[in-house]
Amino acid sequence: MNICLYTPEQEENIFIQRRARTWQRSGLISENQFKIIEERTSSQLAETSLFFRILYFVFTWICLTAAVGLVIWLMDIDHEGPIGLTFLLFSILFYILAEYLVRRYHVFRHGIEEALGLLSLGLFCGGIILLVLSLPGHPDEHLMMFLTASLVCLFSFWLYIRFGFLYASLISIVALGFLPFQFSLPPIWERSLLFLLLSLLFLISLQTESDTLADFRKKRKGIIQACLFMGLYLTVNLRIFAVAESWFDQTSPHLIPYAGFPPIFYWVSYILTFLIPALGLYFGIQVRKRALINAAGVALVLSLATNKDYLGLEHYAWDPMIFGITLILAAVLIIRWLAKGEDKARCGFTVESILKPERYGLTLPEIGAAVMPGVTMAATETAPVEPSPFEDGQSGGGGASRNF
Amino acid sequence: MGVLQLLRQMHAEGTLSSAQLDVLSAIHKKERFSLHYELRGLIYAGVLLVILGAGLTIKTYLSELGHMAIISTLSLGAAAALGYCFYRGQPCSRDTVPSPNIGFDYVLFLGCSLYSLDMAYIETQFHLLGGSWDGYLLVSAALFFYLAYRFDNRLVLSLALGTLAAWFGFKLNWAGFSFWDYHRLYAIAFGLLSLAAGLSLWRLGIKQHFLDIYLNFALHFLFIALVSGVFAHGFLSLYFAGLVVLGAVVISYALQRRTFLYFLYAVLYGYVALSYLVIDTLKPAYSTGWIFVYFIVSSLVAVQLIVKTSRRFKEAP
Repeated sequence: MNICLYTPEQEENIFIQRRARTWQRSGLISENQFKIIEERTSSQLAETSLFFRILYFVFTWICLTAAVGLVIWLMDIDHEGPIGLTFLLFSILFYILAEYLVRRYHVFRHGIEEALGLLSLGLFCGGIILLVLSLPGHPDEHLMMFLTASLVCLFSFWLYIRFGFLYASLISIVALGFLPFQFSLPPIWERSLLFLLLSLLFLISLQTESDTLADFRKKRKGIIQACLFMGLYLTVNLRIFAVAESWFDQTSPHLIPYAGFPPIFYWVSYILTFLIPALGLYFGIQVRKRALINAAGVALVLSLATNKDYLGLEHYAWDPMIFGITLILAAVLIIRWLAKGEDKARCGFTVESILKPERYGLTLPEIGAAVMPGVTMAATETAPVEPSPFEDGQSGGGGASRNF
Repeated sequence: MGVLQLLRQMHAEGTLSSAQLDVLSAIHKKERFSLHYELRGLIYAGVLLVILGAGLTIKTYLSELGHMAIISTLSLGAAAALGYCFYRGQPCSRDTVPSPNIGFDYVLFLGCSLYSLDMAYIETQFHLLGGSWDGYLLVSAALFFYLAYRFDNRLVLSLALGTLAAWFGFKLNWAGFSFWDYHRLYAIAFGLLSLAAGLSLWRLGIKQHFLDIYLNFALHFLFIALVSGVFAHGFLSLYFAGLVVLGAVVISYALQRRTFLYFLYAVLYGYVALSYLVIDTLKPAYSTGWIFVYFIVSSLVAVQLIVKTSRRFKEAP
């Protein structure tokens, strides 16, 4: 049964067209060959470029939120109940409009239907929450949070299966991650429950994969699995949030012993912070899933970055430098090892750039390089060194050498 | 129809060669799997961490290490990295020059960053140039421009433009951000200079693929300066006229060259400025409802115009 508004053939054709465009950009096929592929894989859907999609999304969002604001203002309502009801009505209206647009105009990732869908998600959840808040008595904070997370999780999952918005599935996973923390369970149970939940989803996703699965579905599943994998990793790393918080606040991390967990749980989690990325990398390389390889690589880097915090070792200012050199050396070793293989590859893995990604103005590394002068200036903005009282014999005692 | 099925069909019809079929099938089946961008990412992250670590070490252990140790280490590091680039780099060319290896671009970037750190340290500690300390930034920017063109490096070109912007007075300061009139004028001067440099070099046929970087820098600086000028001085100002002219030129250029990123910039910045002016005018005299009406009508008009533009130019995804 296909719940999605688009047929699998349409989505597969769009996938093939995008792939063919990458091949053409990388010089693997000619312009004529690309045109042949394009003709044969017509999806009959109206697509647009990324930039027009952003513009459609932004202006549709502005228009819809202003419309909701205008109605609330005209009706002069300022109570939670009526506002919640208005939100719900608008949510239904926007959702119907999104479906109508896709059915009538066959739009595919056009920005407009995405804004309608996402705003309907926000208004639906907001509306229900406001209606609950308007009931007599004060609902429990955890109950409200549970309700919000559940609604967001279910609605965004529906948007994913109905419209195919990949980011909706990611919103759904994030919302799911909040659920185990709303039952007032001991922290150890909260983490374990979340770990089990995400593992279950990860395994189901793997089990439902087969060689006959359409290529576009394989790609989507790969990305979702990578997100679930990152969720699993973040669940087991008990130090990462404290370290990240201190990094953004520019303060030394205030680390509670064993992160407030029983020592055995703490050390099991320490082992898992290395075991999970290692397994992810191994599995990703075995089945050649790029998203999973990247996620496992990031997780491994994060494990190394939080290693000292886990072990309670002292941080030094040169730690990032040592870590950076380690990463560079690791990359160089991999590059050399792969390059020495037959045809500059080992088991099919190569360092050669095969497919060129699409360029949109500045890339992330280029933006990083552009802000570097400001960062460098900030790093060296220290007061000049005050001369030591022991230098140049000022102390009256030493003085035999320049530096005491 | 799947990818492989289509490729085989094209091969059977003679529209795809056997070599192409083999290569594309191997890529699709992941029998040939490139780790190029993953490894580049790893090296780049490593370089950023090295620079961060160097900065933090200097800041923390300044008194223990001493000036000579810091300056000589940074200078040696920068010299080694730049020396490697001159030793291994390809000859200079007006066109694209491929990097000799995957890490080359990052070695050059590391060399430039260590050099900046070195210069910044010398100046903050010894104040050799006194009041005109920012001369270091200009010299550094000139060096980075040379290195970017010599080794065809987009990262270093971004660094050069960032350094030049810092010389114009734009630095990262998270404590608070204010945009005064002189900031606006400097931003406009920087934007125009970047634009002129990028366009001139493009016309001269020197590294034409760098134009995008110049345009991105120039347009953001110009738009931000003009929009903030409109915020400060309102409708009856040169800033508004400048914004209208710039928006029109950018939209026309973007549509002509089919580079819709610039179209996006012009539309969004223009809409922000226009909305500010309209709300500013409506707020004292009319009710909140009119502001909502403005947003509904203006966004509908914007969507309508974008639909027309999109259809006219049959833009592809």
